Amino acid sequence: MTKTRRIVNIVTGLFMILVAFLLAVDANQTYPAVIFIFGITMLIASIRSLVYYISMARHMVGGRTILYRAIIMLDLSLFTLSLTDVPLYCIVLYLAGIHIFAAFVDIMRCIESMRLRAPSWRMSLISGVVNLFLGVLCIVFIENVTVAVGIYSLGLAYSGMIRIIQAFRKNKTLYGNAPAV
Amino acid sequence: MQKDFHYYATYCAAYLAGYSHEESLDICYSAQFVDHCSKTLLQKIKGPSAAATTQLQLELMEMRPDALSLQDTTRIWSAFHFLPEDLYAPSKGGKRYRSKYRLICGPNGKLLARTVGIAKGKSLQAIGLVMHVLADTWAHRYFAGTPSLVINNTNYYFYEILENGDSETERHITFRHNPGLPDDPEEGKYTNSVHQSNENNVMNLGHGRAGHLPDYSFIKYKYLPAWGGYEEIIKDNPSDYMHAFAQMVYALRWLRSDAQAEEFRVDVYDSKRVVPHIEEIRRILKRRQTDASEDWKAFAEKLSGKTIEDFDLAKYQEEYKSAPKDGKDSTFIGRFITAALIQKRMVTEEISAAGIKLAGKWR
Repeated sequence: MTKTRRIVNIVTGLFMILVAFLLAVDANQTYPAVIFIFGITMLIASIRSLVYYISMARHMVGGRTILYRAIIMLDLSLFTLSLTDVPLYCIVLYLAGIHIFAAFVDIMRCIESMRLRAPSWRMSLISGVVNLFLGVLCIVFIENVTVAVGIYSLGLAYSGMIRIIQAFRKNKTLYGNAPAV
Repeated sequence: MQKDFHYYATYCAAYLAGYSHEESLDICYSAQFVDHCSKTLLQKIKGPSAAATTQLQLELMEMRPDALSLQDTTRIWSAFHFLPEDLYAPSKGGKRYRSKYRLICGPNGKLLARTVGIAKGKSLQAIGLVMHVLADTWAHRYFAGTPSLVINNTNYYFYEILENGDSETERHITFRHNPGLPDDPEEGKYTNSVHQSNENNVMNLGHGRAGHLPDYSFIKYKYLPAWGGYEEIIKDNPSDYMHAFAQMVYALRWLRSDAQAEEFRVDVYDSKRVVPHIEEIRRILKRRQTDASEDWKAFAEKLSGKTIEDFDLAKYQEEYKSAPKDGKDSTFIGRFITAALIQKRMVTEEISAAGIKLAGKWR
């Protein structure tokens, strides 16, 4: 990980933990903040897509679809930022989807590791079970604002912490002692 | 390419090039092992992760989308499966686009000459590994060994060209995204990776967007590569695979010879040793099947008169695991690891010297 990326990860992680804390303190009052974060995230993504089109995708067969998508996303982000209310279940379903997909990937990874008798299967299994549990929890408490926002806050704080931990993690050596030729 | 070519056909090429049955088995085992030597497998046998020559699908899915992970992936796939044809090729676009464009794989490049050259005088494992790289330059040409939408993407314009007597007909190829469904050559239905608009998504690695079509020797097809500016490419696999086979025989003979002064030459094929068997090889290459192992195996056994054992991934693992620390390098897998590290370092340094940062710098 580059130094700049480390700093960005630490700042983003701290910000995510702060937002998670504020959400957990008062779910109903801070709920619009979630929508604001969604809007800003989409806005940044649309600008990145525009830059990507100009620097890369305009040389690609069918690259113009990237441009159209960027414009639509930009429009949607501005629309989202102008909203004052979004149904909560949309956000909770989104969360559930993410957790269940992550659980699926973890369990597949676990099966593959077990087949190869690699020791990493235990971590994959634990991670898969936790993700599945969180996903199911989201669906069960879909109508309970406090619980749903609580899960979201937990997930957000967890992601923030992971970002900070990753920023401090040493880069794994991926080079070996090969003689030059 | 798959086991049918990397294992059985490589055995045939080695035997035709003058290697003994036992030597040919070691060469073809090493060629096939390139498709199995993942970080997961190396962790299991307590080998160095840096020597990984492939990535499992789930390793790729787990990959963090940061620059270092992308460099790790590029080092693996460019060095062993998508050897760049020309790292200084003229290209449109800015530096970012150009860096990806120049990683497009193709046969007979300068890097191939270096790849074969560094195996001279080395172990049979190094020779097998190089045969994998060489063969893949033919099968995987036109795709890059780095995740890239703008280079590796394909679209609906995909047609199989079928021989119909003296004429040819075209049939549209349908792609599905369910990896559980087997490819169906009779119906023209194949599985490919899902379209992902993120430039660096692993779905855009190599020939994923063209499914396994580059891996099947029988198929001839045309399509629009993402980098080609709407000019269609005709990929004639039976012809490319024949070239790959004849070039392997030449390369293997060159590696076996004592002539130190003579350089390995690209675009040279050992037709003398291949022509006597050309009809049989062509029949195998053109047969519409997704796995030609049985046919290649029968041909190999006919050539040498010996039984060719099936590829057994576990065959040499215990030897490596139980070897003392200072003796690991002389085991079968130890010699393969040494060869893999040398190849990876060479390709990484060449890419870096060309001003392309996608593979990082060897440290």
